[in-house]
Amino acid sequence: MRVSVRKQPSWLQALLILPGVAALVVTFVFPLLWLARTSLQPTTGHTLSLHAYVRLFEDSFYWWVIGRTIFIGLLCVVITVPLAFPVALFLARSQSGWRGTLTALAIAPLLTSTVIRTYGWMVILGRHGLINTTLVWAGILAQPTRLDNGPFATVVALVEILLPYGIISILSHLSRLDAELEQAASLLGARRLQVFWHVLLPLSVPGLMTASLLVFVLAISSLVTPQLMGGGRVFVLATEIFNQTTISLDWPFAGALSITLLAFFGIFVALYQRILQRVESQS
Amino acid sequence: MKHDRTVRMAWHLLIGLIYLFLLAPLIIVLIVSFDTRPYLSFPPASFSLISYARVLHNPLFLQAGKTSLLIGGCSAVLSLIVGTSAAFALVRGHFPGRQSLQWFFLSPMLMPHIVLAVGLMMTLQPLGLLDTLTGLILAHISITLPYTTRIVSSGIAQLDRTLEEAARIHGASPWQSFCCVILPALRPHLITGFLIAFLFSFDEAVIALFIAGHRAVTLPLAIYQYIQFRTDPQVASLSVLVVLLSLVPIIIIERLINLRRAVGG
Amino acid sequence: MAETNSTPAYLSVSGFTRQFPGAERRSVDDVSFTLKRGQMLTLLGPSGCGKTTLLRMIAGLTPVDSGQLHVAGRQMTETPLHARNMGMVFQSYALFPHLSVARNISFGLDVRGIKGEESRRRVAELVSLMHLTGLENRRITELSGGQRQRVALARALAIEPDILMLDEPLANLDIRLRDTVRTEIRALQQRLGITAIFVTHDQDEALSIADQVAVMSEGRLQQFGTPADLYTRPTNRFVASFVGRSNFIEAVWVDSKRIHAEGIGTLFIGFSEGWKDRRTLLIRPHRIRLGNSLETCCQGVVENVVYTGERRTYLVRVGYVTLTVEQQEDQGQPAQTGDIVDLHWQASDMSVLQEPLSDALTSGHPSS
Repeated sequence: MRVSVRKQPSWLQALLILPGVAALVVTFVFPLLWLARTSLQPTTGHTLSLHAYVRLFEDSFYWWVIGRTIFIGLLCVVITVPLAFPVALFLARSQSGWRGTLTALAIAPLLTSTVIRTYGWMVILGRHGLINTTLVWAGILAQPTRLDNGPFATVVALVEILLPYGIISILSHLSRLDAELEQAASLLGARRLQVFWHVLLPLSVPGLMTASLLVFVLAISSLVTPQLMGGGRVFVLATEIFNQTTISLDWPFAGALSITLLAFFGIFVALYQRILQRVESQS
Repeated sequence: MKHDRTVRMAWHLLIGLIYLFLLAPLIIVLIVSFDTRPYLSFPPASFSLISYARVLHNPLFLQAGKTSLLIGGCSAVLSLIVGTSAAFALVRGHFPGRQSLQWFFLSPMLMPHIVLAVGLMMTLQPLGLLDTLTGLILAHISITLPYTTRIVSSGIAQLDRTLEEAARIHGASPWQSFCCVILPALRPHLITGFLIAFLFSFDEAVIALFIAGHRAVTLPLAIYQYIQFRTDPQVASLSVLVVLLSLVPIIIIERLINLRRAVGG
Repeated sequence: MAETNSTPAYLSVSGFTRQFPGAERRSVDDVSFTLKRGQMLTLLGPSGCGKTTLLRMIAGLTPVDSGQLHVAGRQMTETPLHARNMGMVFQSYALFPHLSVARNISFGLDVRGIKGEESRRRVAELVSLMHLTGLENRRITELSGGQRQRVALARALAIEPDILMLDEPLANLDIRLRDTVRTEIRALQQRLGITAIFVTHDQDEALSIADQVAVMSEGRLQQFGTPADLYTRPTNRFVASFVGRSNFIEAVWVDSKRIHAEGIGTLFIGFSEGWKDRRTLLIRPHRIRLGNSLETCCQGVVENVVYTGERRTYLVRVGYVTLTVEQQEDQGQPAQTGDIVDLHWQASDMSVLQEPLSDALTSGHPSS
């Protein structure tokens, strides 16, 4: 016999879920709908209008910004995932007693403030920062240059900030893989590189894809890092949205930019799912 | 054999370097926080705790700290209560649309914070909640609720059903079995849910940037505003304190149910 | 150890020892044995006895703390995994999910650079040998348990291994399939003349498939011998109780006509060869007969009868000792609980165990 919640009448379950649904409707669903509504607000009158979108897509600057956003996102993926893969591999297969601590150490930065980590990169890349001081001391540079401003600094900091996400998604895939597969491959005569190339890498593809998607979507929607490290020279959708809402105060246009970003988000998630399905049906 | 050892060492060196890269900003901030010069440079000229003392006497930072703790605490408590109640319904309930609701409760995780931030700003403005504590708490519930719901759900799913049945058969009322059996069994997940929600709220900057900044200033916001114009060791010391404050919940979570599972690996 | 013969040892393990970091005791403790070419060895023991660790040490999957491994006269202790040329069928099969059946089988050939006609020919041979015809392009997830098992075996055989290792290969199979597959594996091994090591915790499986059996407990090799050796001449209580059912009697040899059994008293059983001290004697339950006879050894009270169709199993209390007695269904008059019965057996029905083992070892492993 089953006692407890399952036996309660269904209206009680409805009551239990109601506060959550209400909270999400107020703080999540409604703001998104209102955002969409605002993006369709005309300059005059009360009817809906697409003029913000028309303006956005007619202006070549915003096409350039969208291209830039996607480029930075892809750049982050291309650097972050290859850095995350070895760490995840190491953590998944390590027999060391430090494994738990090292795993926590790789994930913990995810729970520290992005602002602080960006600030850390400003110190490292700044005019009097670690890199400049070292380069000048080593005689490679005659005098310090600005490294902390612009796309380079933005990508470096973003890669570091997104690395834990990459590690965690690859790690969770790898730890589902049976370590005996690699042992079997070795016993069958495969050398270390062959094991990696013929067994580990093909089996890791879904994990690498999840990591890529996650890093990409987080990169294209990040604001703090491009804002602080871009030095006003990195224009991505997120910084444009921020400028439109806080400086230009053009809310319909900010709304249109946000919806555009969301659309790209959706497109990439859908694309990812299509590719993943194909990968899984082939392997 | 020799070749083998070289390969191993190279591999460990590579891992070590990636770790160094990952932890570099936090390490650097820690080192710089002991500096005394008013401008930011590396390496520090001297080591002292003077900038820590300055931080602790800076009313702006102290106020931001209070605000952050208040908002983090309130939104985490609300998120935990609402999330736990929803988790029970989502795991144990039998009603139409349960699957879609489960998905619905996780969906804010997939939402770019900046889009949500703009939406929240546009919603809170006509309500007069911009730049208020209430507004920030509401906003942070939306980003923390998926995590509390998911963590508590996984705890409920792991619960041994027979424990409650044993409690009921031995004469406990539903309420007693809930208080004396279910809640204690869920304690690690409840604490983890609370702490994760607190951390996400405590470290959140994007939404705060849009909906606050003048009257209600959180710590990340204070740091953000400060480093836009000035970078001196004081902000490094503040950053170190904020990271240390985050470290305590992180360690507790790692001990309780392990960090990887808590953030969803 | 194994009897030395004119044929030289093909596989030789000496002094193999392994203690895992942080473990309280050694998982494998000073194990030595030799095996001739073409023989099938089973490693038998309860779970946790170290048999799988021993197998993995031979395969090179688990590091060896000390000891030597020779295969065909070559020192292999330090040989890296990929150069050992050993075939292994894992308990989980460890088939590559991203490769087809054929590509799984040819994996060992691919990484050795064996391509084209030769690879195709060998795969085709194994496919037909393993009754996998028509499944070559299937994915692993589309196969049944039995089919997966055959793919795993084919993959291990494709590299023409010096030693074939099977780690509980039948454990994940349906019970009905096990006997057939076991017979197939044995027939194949004999036909191809492969030297093989087979790990199992099932004594029937171990005895029926092997040329040699190594019984292990707590990391130590308890006995190494043919299946018949193990059953009729176990060296200690552990082996005796793990292989078949058994009664143990602690006894002192008095003279060529009598022994003195602890808890029972004097038994008129004539051992021509005597022994000093107290020794453990083994008598299998089916070697004890009930009923009147001139050779009656002792009398006892039936405490319990279990009827299982083919036979009756009695628990008979004799003095302070309870003996298990098995009688065929058609053998003699059935006794009831409470009956006083005569028990009889001869010296040839008993075997004297060489070494009494510590109590810790003998307890906790009831005969199965």
